[in-house]
Amino acid sequence: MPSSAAEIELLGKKMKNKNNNKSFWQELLQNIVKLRILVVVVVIFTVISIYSPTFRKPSFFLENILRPASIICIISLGMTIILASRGLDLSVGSNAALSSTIGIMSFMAFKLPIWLGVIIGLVVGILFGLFNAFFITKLRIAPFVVTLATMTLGRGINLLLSGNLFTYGLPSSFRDIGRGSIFSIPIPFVIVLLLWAFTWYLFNRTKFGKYACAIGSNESAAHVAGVDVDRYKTYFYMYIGFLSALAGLLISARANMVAVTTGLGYELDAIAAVILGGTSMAGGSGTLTGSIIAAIMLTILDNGLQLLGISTFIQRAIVGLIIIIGLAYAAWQDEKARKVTRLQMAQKYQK
Amino acid sequence: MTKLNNSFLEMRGIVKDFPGVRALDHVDFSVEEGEVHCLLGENGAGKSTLIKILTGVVQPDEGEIIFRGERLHHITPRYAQQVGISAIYQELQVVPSLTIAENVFLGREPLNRFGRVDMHKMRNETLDLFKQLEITVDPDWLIANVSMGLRQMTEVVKVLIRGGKLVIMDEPTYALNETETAHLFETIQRLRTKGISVIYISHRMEEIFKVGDRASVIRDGKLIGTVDINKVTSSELISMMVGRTIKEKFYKEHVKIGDVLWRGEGISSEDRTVRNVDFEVRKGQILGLAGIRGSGYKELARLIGGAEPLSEGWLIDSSGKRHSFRNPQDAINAGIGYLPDDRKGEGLVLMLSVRSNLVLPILQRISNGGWVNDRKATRITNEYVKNLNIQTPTIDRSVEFLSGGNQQKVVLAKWLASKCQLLVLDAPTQGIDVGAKIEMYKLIATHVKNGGAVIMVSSELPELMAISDRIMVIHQGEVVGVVDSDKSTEEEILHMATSGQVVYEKVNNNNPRSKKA
Amino acid sequence: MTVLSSIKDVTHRKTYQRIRAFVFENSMFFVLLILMGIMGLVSDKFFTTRNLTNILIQNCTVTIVALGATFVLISGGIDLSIGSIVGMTAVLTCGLTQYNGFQEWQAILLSLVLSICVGMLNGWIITRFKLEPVVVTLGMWYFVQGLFQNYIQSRVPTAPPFTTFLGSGSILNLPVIVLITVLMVILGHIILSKTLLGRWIYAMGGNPVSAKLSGVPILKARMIVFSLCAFFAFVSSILMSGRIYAVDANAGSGIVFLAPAAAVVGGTSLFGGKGRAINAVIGALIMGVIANGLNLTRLSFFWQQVAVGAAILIAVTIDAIQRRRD
Repeated sequence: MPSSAAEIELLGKKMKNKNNNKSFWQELLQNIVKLRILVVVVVIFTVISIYSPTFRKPSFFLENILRPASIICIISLGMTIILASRGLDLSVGSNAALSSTIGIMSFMAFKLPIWLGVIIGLVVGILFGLFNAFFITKLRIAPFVVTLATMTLGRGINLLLSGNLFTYGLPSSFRDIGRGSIFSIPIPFVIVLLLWAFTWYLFNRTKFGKYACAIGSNESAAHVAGVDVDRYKTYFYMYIGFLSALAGLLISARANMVAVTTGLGYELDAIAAVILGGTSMAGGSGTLTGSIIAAIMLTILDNGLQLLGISTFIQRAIVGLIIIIGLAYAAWQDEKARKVTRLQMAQKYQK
Repeated sequence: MTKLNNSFLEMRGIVKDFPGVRALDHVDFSVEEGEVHCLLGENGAGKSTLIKILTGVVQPDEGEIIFRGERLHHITPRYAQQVGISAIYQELQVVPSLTIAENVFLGREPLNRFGRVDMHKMRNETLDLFKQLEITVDPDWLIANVSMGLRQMTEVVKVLIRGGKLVIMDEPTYALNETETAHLFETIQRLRTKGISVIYISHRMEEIFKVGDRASVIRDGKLIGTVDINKVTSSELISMMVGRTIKEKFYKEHVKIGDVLWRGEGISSEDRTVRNVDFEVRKGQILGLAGIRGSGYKELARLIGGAEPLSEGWLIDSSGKRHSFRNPQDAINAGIGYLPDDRKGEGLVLMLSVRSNLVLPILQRISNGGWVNDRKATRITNEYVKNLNIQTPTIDRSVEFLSGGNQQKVVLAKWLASKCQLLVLDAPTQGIDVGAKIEMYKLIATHVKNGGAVIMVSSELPELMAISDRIMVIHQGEVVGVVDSDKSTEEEILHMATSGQVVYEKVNNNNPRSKKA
Repeated sequence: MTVLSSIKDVTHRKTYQRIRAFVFENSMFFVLLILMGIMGLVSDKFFTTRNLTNILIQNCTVTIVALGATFVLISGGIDLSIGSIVGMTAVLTCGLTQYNGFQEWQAILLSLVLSICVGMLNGWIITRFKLEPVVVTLGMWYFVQGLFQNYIQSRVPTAPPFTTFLGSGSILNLPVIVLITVLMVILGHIILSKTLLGRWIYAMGGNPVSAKLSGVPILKARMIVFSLCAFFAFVSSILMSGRIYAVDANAGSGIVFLAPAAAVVGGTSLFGGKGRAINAVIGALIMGVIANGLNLTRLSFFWQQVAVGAAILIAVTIDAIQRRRD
């Protein structure tokens, strides 16, 4: 059909760019180009490198940037999926803390083998997520409230459990996971890379991820099409639970103790990273690559500003500002784009 | 499950009652294999109820449904899909953030060994299916970026994937342009050759004659008749759809019509659903707005009522001052009140009490500097509750517990209390019982008797004709014509609304043709 | 005989139904009573005047912030930046007077103005750009906190005299802090039930679309609501500074989630449209009673966290079930 083909060709160019099933490298490139904070960070990076020789060293980057960033990276992977499905999880920090406490307790207090303790910790994290999912799906309570409550609950239980017993002196094999490196790359970050690959596959190539976007974009359409929305939501929260537990264990490994303040604030950092990375809170799509890059960028910002003598506090303020301005700008662009599309479609209306 | 007769789809003796009204009264409806069967009827006639029963959303009170030789019991939406009955609604159930292929296969993705979604298979099959409909697409396009026409095609392909045998299309061309509509018709023809039947619901006569094989008309819950499309004329169909006398169902007083209260010049909406509309409404007058779904008549009401900002044009009041309302507040202050057709979603705050809802627009007027005068609020509320005969145990009762009719009265009371001279009412009697309807008409009459004016939007033509003094017909966003309701007929107006032309030929009558456009 | 007994039946049933409705409406209040009863059983020191006064005083600041949060919640939003407003006010009031040579009234005034600005900005950005309140107030929280934390660094200023008086002093043997709290509660109640703004808040929360169509000026109203919340946070912060004498960079950080939590536990719905001033009080009291009771019985302080979390879950579950039944 002539007109059909012509129409399609015209739209073809515009649509190719927005195509969903890009390869990993395409997505990476796209994100690096899109991220506006990248500009800021590059500037800071260059400035600092001039002033401080240590900053330029690759070892510095690996040790002081990638290692601490790993924690947020891991949590952000899960948070991306949650936000893409239009959900929210504020309990990740408490989950991390609680899971790692229980896991460590099992090999410290109960003398179980370390690997078993780690597994127990991860299982606790998954169960935590399951608990969240129950209230969200079966009782239909808003994720914000549920995870707020479980955040407080989790933190309390954790404080309870870790109050007594030990706080220091974890076995060296465990510590090494947090502090060691393979071929100079910090182990936590190696874990990030592995998880990134796995989650990327999950999110972009399997039903898991497709349904997350479908649910976030139009939950009723997904439901009508036969997707078991409740079940998949449960999977999402269980997955982020698993990731949180993993992050918690890594924190403890690195710090060599079960810190009672572990995980505090991580939820918000993760959300900030995901949003800055390009995933919208309104759901429907997500970019894991964006979240990872944003998490690393935030750490660079943090470190870099510190070296520049700008306090962590200002860095926090800048992050906040970036979030607001970024969102407002994006919303403004959306508004303009929507007006244009409506006009275009309406023009088609006219005979 | 015994094999009954050979009819593709047969619905026999379907009865459905809702509180206070019988929506379907022993309807017999049948569809043949590979047929395009059009379903016609005015809003509220029972079409959507019939369809909902077929797709399992609603259960019939009596009657049976036989599909492809098997009797269907207790249909659920899932079951209907499994048997091969699908529906494509106006609100397309597509996921914007996924691609065409992903949407087509939503819920039934092909998996390969590792649990990975088999993109290749999805893409190829989607490509194939679209090719069968002779449409070239790239299955990787995001639905969000794709035109309405293509979205609809995706829905059609979804149906094919699920082995659909009977497709119900509800006003499918609502959001399509000419080219897309032509595509749709071609697609429907191709479905026919595959033995797939289509139930096509529409108000647009040209389409029905282009694409349909047979047509059934439903009116007041009864099947009036089923005819062959090529053996009937458009006027005959319209007569079947209409055909009520019933002036007793309405209430109308003849009121002296005064000066122009409000005028509109060049009114257009931002998205061009309304284009360059001029109108005038006078004191004591009821101006009706008529049109088919998607013609822009409802949007016009929203623009006049201040619910949407005008992108072009002016509203001019009786003193000649020009207005372009930026928000509803401005409209209210200028004396225009808007009653939306979704009274629960847009007309009321369900959680709040009768009193709170009623005084919401005039809060500022009854308060002195931030302090709400509760006594005034109560007094005013009581006054209107009494005048409008709103049934409620107390005025503090939350409106969500009131009946539909009473809820509507509260919305109306809201605007009467705010002393808005011009009331723009969208479907004021929709979904309320006959008795409440009459009360509503009386209230409208009282309002115009006191010097106010009403612009009324209604998809029920008889109502519009009985209540309005003049009727403005809208087609594709523009004014087709304004007629005097007592000098015109329903057929004429329906014709104007569906075709956009002021040309009318009466059948069976010796009346001369009326003026050409 | 039968007529009489059936009349008795009917009236009993009606009163029973009435009582049942009343209990459901004010469920959290009864929960509070039950809780207090449990605490009384658990520890004989609970129902002493000293203990009860302690509970009252310790919960004043939370109550006031919870009130602020209540306004925002009823209007259908959420404000995560209150924590930073509390912190900022505390830090500025104490720090500016101690380190920068400000007069006390100047410092207080500046904090007030800044707090209100934050509130107005919140309201404006959310409405103008149609953004989710969670994220905007989150960003605002980071922003404000970063700024004031940077100002104060690791210093720990003490509270200036008048502030101290407000937080720790008494008039005629009544603690000022309680008096002010009571005042704020009354103020909150009046705003919600008697003023134009209050009606707007309920309308916006119940159905923002209908509210707009009915003439409620959404932008203006939202800006005022958030400013109001900020104001209450400001007052709470002044009292807090006065009570604990010295503030540091972490001031207010615990409040962020505690305030809306207290409001929700007390019965304000997270979905907007429902709630009363008294809910904030009850919610704060519930949490306070739990904390106090746990303290008395020498159970680990950390049980409080557990209890708070559990309380929120229970409260919203009840809310969800109630909504289902409607």
